[in-house]
Amino acid sequence: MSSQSAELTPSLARGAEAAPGSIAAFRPGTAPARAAPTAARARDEAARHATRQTILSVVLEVEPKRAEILRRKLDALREEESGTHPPFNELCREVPVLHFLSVTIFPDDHHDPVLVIEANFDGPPAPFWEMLETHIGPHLRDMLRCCKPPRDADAALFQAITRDGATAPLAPYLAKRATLPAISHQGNRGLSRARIEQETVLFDAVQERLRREPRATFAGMTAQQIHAWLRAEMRREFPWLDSAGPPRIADAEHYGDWARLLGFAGLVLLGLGLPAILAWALLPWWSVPVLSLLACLPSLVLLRRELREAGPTVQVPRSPAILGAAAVLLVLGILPVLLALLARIRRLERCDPPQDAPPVDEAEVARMSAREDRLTQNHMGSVVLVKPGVLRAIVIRAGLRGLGLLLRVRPRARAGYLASMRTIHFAHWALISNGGRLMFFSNFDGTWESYLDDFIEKAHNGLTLAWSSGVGFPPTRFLWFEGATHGRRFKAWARSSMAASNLWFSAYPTLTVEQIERQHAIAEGLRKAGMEAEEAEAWTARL
Amino acid sequence: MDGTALGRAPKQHWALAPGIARDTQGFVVSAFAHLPVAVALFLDASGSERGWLRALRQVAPVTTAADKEANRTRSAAIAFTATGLERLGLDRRTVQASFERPFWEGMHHPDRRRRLGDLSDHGLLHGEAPRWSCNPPGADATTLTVHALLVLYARDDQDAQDWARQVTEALQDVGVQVACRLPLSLRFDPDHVAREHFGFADGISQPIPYGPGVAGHHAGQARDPWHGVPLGEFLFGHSNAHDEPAPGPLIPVGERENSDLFDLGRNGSYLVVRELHQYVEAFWDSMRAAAAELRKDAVWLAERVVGRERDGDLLLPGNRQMARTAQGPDNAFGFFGTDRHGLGCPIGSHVRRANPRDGLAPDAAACADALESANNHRLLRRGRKFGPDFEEGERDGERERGLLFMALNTDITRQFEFIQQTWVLNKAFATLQGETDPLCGPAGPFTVPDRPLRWKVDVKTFVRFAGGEYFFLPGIGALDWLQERG
Repeated sequence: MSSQSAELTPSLARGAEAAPGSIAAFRPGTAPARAAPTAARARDEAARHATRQTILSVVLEVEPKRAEILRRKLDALREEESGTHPPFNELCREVPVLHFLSVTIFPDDHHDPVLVIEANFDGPPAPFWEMLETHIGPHLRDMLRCCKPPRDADAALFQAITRDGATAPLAPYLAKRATLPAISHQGNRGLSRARIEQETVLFDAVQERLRREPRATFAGMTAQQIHAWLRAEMRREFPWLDSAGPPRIADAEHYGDWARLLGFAGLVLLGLGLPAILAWALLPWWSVPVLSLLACLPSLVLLRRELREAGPTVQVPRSPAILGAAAVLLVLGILPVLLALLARIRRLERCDPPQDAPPVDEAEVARMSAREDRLTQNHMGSVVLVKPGVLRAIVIRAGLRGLGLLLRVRPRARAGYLASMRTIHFAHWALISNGGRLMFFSNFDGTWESYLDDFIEKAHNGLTLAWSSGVGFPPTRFLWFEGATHGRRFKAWARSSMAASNLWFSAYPTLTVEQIERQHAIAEGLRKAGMEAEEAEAWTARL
Repeated sequence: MDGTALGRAPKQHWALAPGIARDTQGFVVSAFAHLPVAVALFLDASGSERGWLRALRQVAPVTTAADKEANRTRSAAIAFTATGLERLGLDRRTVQASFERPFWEGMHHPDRRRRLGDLSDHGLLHGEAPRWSCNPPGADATTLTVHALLVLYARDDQDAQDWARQVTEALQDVGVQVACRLPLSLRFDPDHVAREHFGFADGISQPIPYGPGVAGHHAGQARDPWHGVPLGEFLFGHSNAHDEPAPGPLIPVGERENSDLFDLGRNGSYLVVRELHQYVEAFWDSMRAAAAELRKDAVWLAERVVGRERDGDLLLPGNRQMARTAQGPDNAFGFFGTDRHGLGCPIGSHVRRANPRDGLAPDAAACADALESANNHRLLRRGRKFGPDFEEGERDGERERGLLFMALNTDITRQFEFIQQTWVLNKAFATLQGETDPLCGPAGPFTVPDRPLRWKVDVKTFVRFAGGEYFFLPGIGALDWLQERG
């Protein structure tokens, strides 16, 4: 247990230390050992303050014979990194754009093991990979040497970086092998690590200042006066309070998110409307609505049982807006396609075998149990097989993409919420193995049990849509209902799909998503010269 | 800790349907408030002879939920640990395959101790190490091994002592030792209020089960709006919060072609037991010291630590408290509507952490969800206090006192452990940072929200863990079956 938990226990110590210790750990090195060219340094500096975060993972097939060697190398790396005081100090300093990093070997009964490097960082990938390589390059190269050479165009590149005595940079290869998520979610979107750290230092200073002040000072003061007093106190030490911070979501990103969502919606409509377009082109105009109506009938017959049984879960739409939309879709010839898809999906769902008692690997469970709940945050990595069939292949891609794009624009999701839960720092799903497997990673606050309970109780619909294409997932209804609400079965299934992360790094192990937002709100308040009474009251309540 | 409002009138909020009541221990539906004295006997059956459970039931007949309370002057409840079931002839593999992991790993598994905060470096242990557990393989060992818990309820001290002596002797004859015993009591005030040792009215908030297994008003889906919880949360085999029959242990029986699964869990539950010692002198010293900094009195701060005033009424913003109902303190409220920011009942106070109700909702629209979600983590509490009342001028350590925490749930991980980890000891509960439960957590800061600025004080440790375990509280049919084997 000691070796497995080594990187976590001392991290806890780091977290438990008084504020000054964590400030030291937070301050990125101002003079890195390497002599970086000025242009590159400027670029790194830009990445450090970038308001946009990148989430990606690199999936590498492991040479089965070398899997054990790889495991030992990862253990050694973890020992090395966590042996510092505070743990992971160097990784923290040398890669100042990094939020969370995990390296996991996923064993699999149907595949050779895969090595997955999951990275969540500020700015574009190139500077990140270079920083990471500068710090743990030799280790990364050793890890790559335990992996199979790719059989595509990257083979030569792989050869060049892994042959004996190779010194060619790894970053280009890692960048090429990176998988972007099909869907991702962020708790504190738009806050760079530099900014989170800056606001942590400010928060600690504010708390300390309030602690030192005799309580009598505040007697009779209004919230506005407290704000003004505290701002005056803090400005001396934190001159950056005099300037506004960058917006968390830049205009270009905002419009980009919307453009992608609308583009996606257009493509979906086009896809669904394809039969209708052909019909409009080939048949007399008046026949399309008639055919459309007729084409709806078989699906409605197939779905009649559902509509009767659905009960409280599916509200049969009665509002004029929805009925109107249905009428338009009917006339356009899109409705029959939609209904046919639903009928087919429902049929698949009725026949999909759920796995009620997934196998339990006692050793793996013990490893996870020993590693979890040592920090405020926890990590989860899971890989599942994807259900077969064309429809499933389309549904999983369109579902993940659509949901992902929606999360990018919805104000609540942008503020870090999934339904009413806000405990996720970084999470993503990605399809791997040509869409044959679905990978999930999450860096979250609280225990694994509470995290899953949150999903089960508060945000089960989206989760069910995203995971319902996984083999063995509890029974769903129309991809959106039930599923994760079968709480116990869902937890057993999720736990069985997980592997204990061999290495996991968090740049701010004591901070929750809520706390980061609280610190941010306090900092933003202190940046303001003045506040209205009501705003000031809400602001002082967060102190 | 008992199921009645302030132990006032020993009136039930709910009852089981007759068929189920006959097969269920009375302990599930009643705190036996009409029997104010009790003795907890922790049994070590290491040297037991066959038939020990039969002998035990002869001197201490286990009360069923169908027995009329008014007719009884004695009641008894029994539950077994994982190693205790082995003493009744179930082999370890069967126990591990049929019961939930926390039950057979035990409360003292090193990873679980860390999660539950039962560590010496948190200062939460009474003495060097916990005294008792069921000592399953892989868990940290304790000096005393407990295989079963027998609680005897009686009308007065004399009867309780006589009965306990009689039971102890009968058990000795079949090789079962009493590893330790705790005298329990409700000790009502003259105004019929049962208080825990710090002086606060206790046991006010309890879940109210509903569903087809429940008799009367809550039989259908008519659930209490604030405290209605499906019966399956406390009784195996009935529909639980996840809309499935709460899975209990199924035991393979019979040989080859006759083999089948026996539903051992039927109308049973898991019983979480923790012996918690209370340091009353330390509590009031800490309250006085911290309150002096705020220029308040100790009681004012203690009430904020608990979240209710001493007679049990909820604290409200503006130094007010909730109006009483005819039955006692009003318990039909959510935090979001009455006191969203914790200006009366602090966000981090004990009652708010132990059951946040709808208080974790980020906005009004999420209230119903938040309440429903919080109600997926409820416990049916059956604890009682032990030890004499604290007397003015007494020092901590002279006489031991505290609470024998006993609570029923069917999913230990989702109910008891969740509450302990995610709410009570969570350093990041709600929007707080770096503080835990001010009443039963380790020493540390405690935030009392106020306008224009919150108060922040340091509080010490006053509740310490001395031993505990997860038990299986069988139904009557299961008890008969176990008796045949052991």
